[in-house]
Amino acid sequence: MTYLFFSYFKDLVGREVTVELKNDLAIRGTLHSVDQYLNIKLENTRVVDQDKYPHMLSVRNCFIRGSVVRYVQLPPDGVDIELLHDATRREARGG
Amino acid sequence: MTVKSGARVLPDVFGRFLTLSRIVALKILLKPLVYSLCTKGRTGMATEEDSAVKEPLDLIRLSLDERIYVKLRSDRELRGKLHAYDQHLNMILGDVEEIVTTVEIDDETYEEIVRTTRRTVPFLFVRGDGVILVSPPLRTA
Amino acid sequence: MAVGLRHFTARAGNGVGEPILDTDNGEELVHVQPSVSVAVGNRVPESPGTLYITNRQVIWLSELDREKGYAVGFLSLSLHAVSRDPEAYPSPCIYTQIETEADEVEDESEDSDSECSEVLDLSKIREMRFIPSDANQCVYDSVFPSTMDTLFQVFCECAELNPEPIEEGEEEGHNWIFSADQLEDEAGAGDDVEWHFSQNPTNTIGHSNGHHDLASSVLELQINDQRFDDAEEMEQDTDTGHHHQSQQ
Repeated sequence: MTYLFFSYFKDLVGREVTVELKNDLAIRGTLHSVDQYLNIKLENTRVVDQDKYPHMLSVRNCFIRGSVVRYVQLPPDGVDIELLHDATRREARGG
Repeated sequence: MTVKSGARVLPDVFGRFLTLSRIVALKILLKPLVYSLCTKGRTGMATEEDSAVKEPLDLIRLSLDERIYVKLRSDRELRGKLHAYDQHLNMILGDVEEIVTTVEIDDETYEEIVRTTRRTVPFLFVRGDGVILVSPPLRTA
Repeated sequence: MAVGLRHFTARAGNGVGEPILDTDNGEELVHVQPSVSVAVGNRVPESPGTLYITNRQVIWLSELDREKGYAVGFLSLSLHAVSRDPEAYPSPCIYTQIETEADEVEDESEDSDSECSEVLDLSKIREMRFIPSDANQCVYDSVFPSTMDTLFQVFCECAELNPEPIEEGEEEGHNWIFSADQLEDEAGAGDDVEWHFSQNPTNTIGHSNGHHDLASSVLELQINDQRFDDAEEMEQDTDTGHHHQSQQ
């Protein structure tokens, strides 16, 4: 995993995100931590589609393996577009 | 069709072939706009460093802040403004529209029922391992 | 590739002791938690056993039935969570989701059949709960959390020790290929990867707006490789007009 997204997600710690898994489960929670593989730890989680996963109704802490993540819905005010563009260009040159 | 999703080789302006990584199962459709950008970069019409295209990912860099089309596994398609990406094709997209296509077989008639579900998401991180194809915006059709 | 849940019966000491680990390849025991039940899929919890967490996998061995044990590698554990809500599950537990082969191939078969039938097909199990028995006895949240939190923490640490195996060449940046010669070299050196070329003149891209007339035929490279084994979704591709129609 590249530094760009690792450091981006580190800055999002403490914010609410929705992690969507490749098995269609969507979990909303507070981003507790992220590692270089984009494994994600959420706190105070809740499942978005509760009909489909009733037993996941609420778990306090949740560790999600990075490789099973399809999307992460980001908080709109947690995206600094200019910063991202710069970081992306920098990484593209370096990489 | 027996395609395993594979890399695609693209001719660049010198007639050489660019192929995408073996790791990232990616296919880029070159669009006229990008071609013209490539050409400008080569001919000096645009001398900016950023417009030089040496490898396929450079074509994606030229789409930064542009709306792109992304095809993903599980019959998902995204259209959104590209705000960040890396070489694994992890991306952050803005103003995203997702279309999910599902095919069901009617129990009685055995006809295929194709359903599409649309939704919009303000900002979305997309993990690159699900990406099949990235394309600059479709300007025709 | 994920292999999901499997039976585990390799116990030391004539089959009564601790699990036999792959120590030759660096497997180490990280944490042992006695008095833990497991609930496989939707089944009722098993009688208690001992949970062994190694740097590779989670192993549960039954206390009563020496022949009974399960193991799941961290590579197959999609997520784990502390579940304390009685509405979600009667007993506080570590809830896990397991990635199965079935997930990667087809998603049609529903678990319920396999989980209700007499013969347990572990390859289809997608959920497992680890239920520490002291969790039920203890009413006070202040005492009980330690076991659950410890287990959660150990699961996290060990999961982080098991990133996805790095595909060959991935870390060397990207081996972009700029000529067909190079590709032939690659193919020669390739192990299990089959490369197929097909010059596909019908596959024209960027021909529509007439600003220029760059050669637009696209040479295709196809990788016959399980890593990209998504044939069922690729069939859909023929229906959508956005991209290439490939010919084999």
